[in-house]
Amino acid sequence: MKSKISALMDGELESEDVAGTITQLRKADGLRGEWTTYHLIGDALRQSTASIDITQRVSARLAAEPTILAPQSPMEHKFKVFALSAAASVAAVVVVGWISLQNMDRPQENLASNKPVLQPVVQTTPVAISVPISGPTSAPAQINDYLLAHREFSSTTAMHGGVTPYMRTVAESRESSAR
Amino acid sequence: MTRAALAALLLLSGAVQPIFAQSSSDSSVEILSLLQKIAAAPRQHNYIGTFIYSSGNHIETSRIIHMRDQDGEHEKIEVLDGSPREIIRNNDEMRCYLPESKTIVTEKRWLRKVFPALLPEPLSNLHDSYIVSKGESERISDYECQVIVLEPRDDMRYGHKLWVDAHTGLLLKAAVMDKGRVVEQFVFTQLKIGGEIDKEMLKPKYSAKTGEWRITNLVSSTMGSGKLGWQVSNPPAGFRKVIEMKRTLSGKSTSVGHIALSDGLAAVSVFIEPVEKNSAPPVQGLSSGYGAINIYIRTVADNMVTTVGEVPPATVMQIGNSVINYKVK
Repeated sequence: MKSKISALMDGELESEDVAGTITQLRKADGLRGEWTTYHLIGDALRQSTASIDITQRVSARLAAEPTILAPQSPMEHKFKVFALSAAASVAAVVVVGWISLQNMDRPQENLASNKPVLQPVVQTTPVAISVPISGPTSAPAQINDYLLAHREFSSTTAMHGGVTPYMRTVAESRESSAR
Repeated sequence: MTRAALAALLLLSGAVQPIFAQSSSDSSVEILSLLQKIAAAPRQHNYIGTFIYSSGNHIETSRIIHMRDQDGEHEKIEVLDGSPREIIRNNDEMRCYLPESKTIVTEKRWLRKVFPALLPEPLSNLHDSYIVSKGESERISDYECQVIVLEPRDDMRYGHKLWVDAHTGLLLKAAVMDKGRVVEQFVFTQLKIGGEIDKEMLKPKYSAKTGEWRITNLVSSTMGSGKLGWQVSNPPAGFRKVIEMKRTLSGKSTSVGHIALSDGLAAVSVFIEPVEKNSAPPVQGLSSGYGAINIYIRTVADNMVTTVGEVPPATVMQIGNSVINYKVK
């Protein structure tokens, strides 16, 4: 029924359904609420400036709607890359990029026994060749050092300027730390 | 003004000077002054806020308390999502507390002290690689912000968008763009600028237990610059060598060659290090997932060449693939 109301509102409802839907709308209070809500949403989307009389019923309905937050992404990577950018400071001249702080001091065998540490990330650029940087070379530790050394030259962050020292840290995903 | 602040200004003005030099149009002057305002703002304002960093599917929330006084800047950042991390910064000294592994990572920057002298010339011409313009006004966290857009002139670098609080110059939102796609961004979701900040609020949560914690020092140092015997023969247009040097990195006995390139905004570093005889050969290829940073590894003449930068994959690859050893072997 909801979809029919929505379609009716958008003028997309098949003509044979229109009469029936309107009849039902007349009968049921709940459905009228639906109708009002859809219009409210529509107005909001169109950024209508018309004053909207938010009736008690509609407000209550909106309040009851679940808040949808960004969906949890699946933990695909053994090591998650976290970046933390902070509005900050002069120190930003030098970019902040602590990476894999969690893993730096872990014993080498431990690293070696891990599956590929840096999973190839889906590339949007066709020229990119994704190769996992894996286990035995202890790539994370090396890359940490490199990123640390690199950020001192990153004027990108200088630009963000005294402002956004980026902290990129690779930390283990919860699964692997729970191991 | 502190030495640190001076260095920051120097670097920033190094980056934006070309705008000024090339065109004295009103908008260029205005953007220049805005950029300078961005650099100076954290030294002039206290603030407390919450910001979100996002990159790909990853979102992370952090809280920041920033205070400035006659000694400089003091700051505490708490990462609120995932494994807890707390970063305390006093000017250029950082301490990062990692309660899960009971580790404190410390770092003191060395480069700043020598930065002006280290740089052979101001960073290259920003205008050659980017179209810099003023965007609309937008409201971020209830502050009216001026948008500054740095649009790349080709595909070899990302674009940047900055949202700057019109009053204070604080950066309230920043995005790295790959054409229409946001590669990574940070934005304040709640912010209070100004007002007194109690010093107590800047103390680390964990300091009392420091005795049982391990301290790791991340200090790295240069060993002196000079000819490395390596060069980037074919960098993408606009990228120039900023410096080359040998340096030691934490936990390494041998030194590593480091060549830094920049297009005036984006930086790329090339690290060259001999492959250890007894270790497995390095795994070559491209790796992403560090926000805007891409990493490309290849082996050249028994050396591992790692190219790192906040640039598209094609750029680290072109730079990495054009690294050559010009020593007679």
